[in-house]
Amino acid sequence: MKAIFFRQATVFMLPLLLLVAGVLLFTGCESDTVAPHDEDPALTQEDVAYQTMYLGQMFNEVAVQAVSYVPGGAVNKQNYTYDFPGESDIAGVINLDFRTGGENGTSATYNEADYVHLYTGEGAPLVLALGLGGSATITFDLTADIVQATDTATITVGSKGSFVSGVYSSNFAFNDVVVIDGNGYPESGSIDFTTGDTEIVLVYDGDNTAQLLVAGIWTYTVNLDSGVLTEV
Amino acid sequence: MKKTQLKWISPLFVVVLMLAAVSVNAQTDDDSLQDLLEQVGEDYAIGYSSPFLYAFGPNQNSGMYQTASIPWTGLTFGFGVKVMAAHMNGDDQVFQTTLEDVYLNDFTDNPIVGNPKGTIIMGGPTIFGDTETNGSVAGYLHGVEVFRSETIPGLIETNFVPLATPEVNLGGLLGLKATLRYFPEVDMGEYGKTSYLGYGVQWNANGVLKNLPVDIMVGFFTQSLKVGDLLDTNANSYFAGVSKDFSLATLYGGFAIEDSDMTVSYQYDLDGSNVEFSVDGIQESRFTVGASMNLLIMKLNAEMGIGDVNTYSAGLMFGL
Repeated sequence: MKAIFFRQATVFMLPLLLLVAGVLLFTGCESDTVAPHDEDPALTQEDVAYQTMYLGQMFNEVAVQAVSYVPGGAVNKQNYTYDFPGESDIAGVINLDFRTGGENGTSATYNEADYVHLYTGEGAPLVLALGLGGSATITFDLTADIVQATDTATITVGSKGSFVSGVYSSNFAFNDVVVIDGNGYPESGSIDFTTGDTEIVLVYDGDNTAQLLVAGIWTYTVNLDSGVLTEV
Repeated sequence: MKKTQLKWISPLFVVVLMLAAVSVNAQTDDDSLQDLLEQVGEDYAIGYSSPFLYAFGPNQNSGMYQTASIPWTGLTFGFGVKVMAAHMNGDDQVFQTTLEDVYLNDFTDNPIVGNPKGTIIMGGPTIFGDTETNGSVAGYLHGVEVFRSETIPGLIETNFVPLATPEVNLGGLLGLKATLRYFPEVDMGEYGKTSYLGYGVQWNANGVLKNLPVDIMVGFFTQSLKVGDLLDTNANSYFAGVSKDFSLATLYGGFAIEDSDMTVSYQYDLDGSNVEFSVDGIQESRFTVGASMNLLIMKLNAEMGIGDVNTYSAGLMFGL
């Protein structure tokens, strides 16, 4: 009995192997992958807090152009541009569309407008130089109501932007951020900063500190001058 | 063996040796594998060369036999060339390796104050990836990229990793056959001395298990290839095969348990340190199926090896 089974098994072995080979040839026969394909490491909560702080540090220098803008070089009345000076950590150009009568109002000069659309050009983000040789590219698309008498701009809800550094990208949105010409930092308001599943809210209070709210609790105090995060 | 045969076999060995070394020393305009590896550190080199590291062993373990038929009496011999190629996964033309909580200054020639710990993301084309695109090593601290440096392009853009080897065999005593793969040591200039030795034994069981409709054979083969100071590889295969002769053609197949390893050594240009790492092959077994044509003293065979790394092999052997 064993001999018969062995005989049958050997007879069927070759056709079986041929069948396997045939199936593989027709269904594709690439090998298993052997090269490493590691995922990008997930950012920690602290990493996202730092990203938020970097945005918080530089934002005033951008937004204050809504109320402190001084034209230089060629100016198109329909759409001003501002090129950040060489000594700034920010490189690039923002576009400023000043109007009177709000969003659908008429074009106006920078010192008469009550509304501004401040934005970076398509494919031309600002580049923010960070300490230790790092950098991030940042886009803005925000609108603000301007009060010329007090040199105040209030960023409209719905204004937004993006923050990209290497393989990591984030989005942010503004909540009634108030910027006053001459102040080093926004007077009030907040930025919702989202990276992946992590959302951090940066709350301005008019001085060189801000609070970072993570998951609904105060988690960090930020010194916007020194860039030091202090866990609460 | 006749003297006239020896005259052309010798140059043949040199040609085959060059073929075997092609996957190691294949050049783009001015780069060899060694030249490229010397520009990157160990972690990058492992990811970059991984398709080669993992394909080489399965290639070496290919073409072990073309028939399970070995006479129990009557001398047989053969000599010729085996060529093989591993069919790599298309995804292996790129790689990405991430390292977390590492000292960033170990990966940049522009030291960061305080040498903080952070994350490294390195990747790009592998050795068999795009030869026009460089890879990169980027360091991340606090969620932002703090440095990025370009590395090296692919060496050859292909999904097939080739290898070739000369082979001789002698058998016919009690169903035994001895097989030898061998290159004499050859000095390949800047790549150093290259040598190759493989040997094994096969035994046909039909002398014991009589009246079977097919031939049955078991065997083993072990081999090592050294390419200069750069590569040192070993491969072992333990196999069982069956075959059926049909006049001019023979169908054969079998199963093998195998292992392999490769050690890579080179000097890292950035800091002059010696880099050495070893990788064990991922393939532990394979199925083989093939066919050979028997034309007088010439035997031509083709086969497919099915495993984690799929291989194709062909051989041209002369003998009786």
